[in-house]
Amino acid sequence: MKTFTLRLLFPLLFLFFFGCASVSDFNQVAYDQSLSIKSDALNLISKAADNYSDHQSEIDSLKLNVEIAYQYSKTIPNNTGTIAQWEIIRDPNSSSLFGLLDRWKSKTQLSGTFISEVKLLIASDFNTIIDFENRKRKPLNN
Amino acid sequence: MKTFVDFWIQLITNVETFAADKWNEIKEEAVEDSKDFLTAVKDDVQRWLTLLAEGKLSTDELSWLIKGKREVAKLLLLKDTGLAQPDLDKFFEGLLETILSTAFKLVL
Repeated sequence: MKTFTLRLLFPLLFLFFFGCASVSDFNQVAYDQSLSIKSDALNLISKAADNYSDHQSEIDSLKLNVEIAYQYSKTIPNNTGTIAQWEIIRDPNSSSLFGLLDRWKSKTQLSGTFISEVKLLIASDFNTIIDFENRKRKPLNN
Repeated sequence: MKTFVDFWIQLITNVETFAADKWNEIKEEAVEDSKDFLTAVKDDVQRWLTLLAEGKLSTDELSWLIKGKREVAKLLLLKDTGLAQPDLDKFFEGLLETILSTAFKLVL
């Protein structure tokens, strides 16, 4: 019980001291980027029944835009949560966007049923990022 | 294939065993977190199992989709806390293995 209490105490103290400081203010550019990338991603995934190679340029463009959004998020102070969210999106080993693009590449084409289901997942991923940004404190000059 | 209710009952039992075996020191919290996660994904899992039984999804696709739910949960957790928890991956890996092994035993 003592060990459990101590193990619980440290993360609670960590959250107490750093939890409030780790969220940045709302950023309009970041918000617009996430909306735009969500739209492009879902549009592209809809085409995943086609050969991957037929959409290489669109895939590269989408990945570039994700990278731009990720690098931009790293320029904003106290933005660890959003940065970590983009790291999930751009992790090819995850079952998120980049992981899906890797799957499409390895399978060449994806099935219609799987595409319908995975679009819901990817949409949820981006809705979480968008919602997080939208709920951040709005600066007085916005 | 057994009914989804049979699957769900077995899954809850297996999740409690998983929490007791691997997360004994925080078993109650682990069981609650697991049940919360399962509740959130229940409708999707039921639909996917039906699609699997109908041959419209492969087992590999089912695995990928369930893992996708893990990513959604991680993104939500990051939104709520603003921090990544170091044990999150380990916890979810074990939970997902439990879900998948229960699904494949009862569906296939």
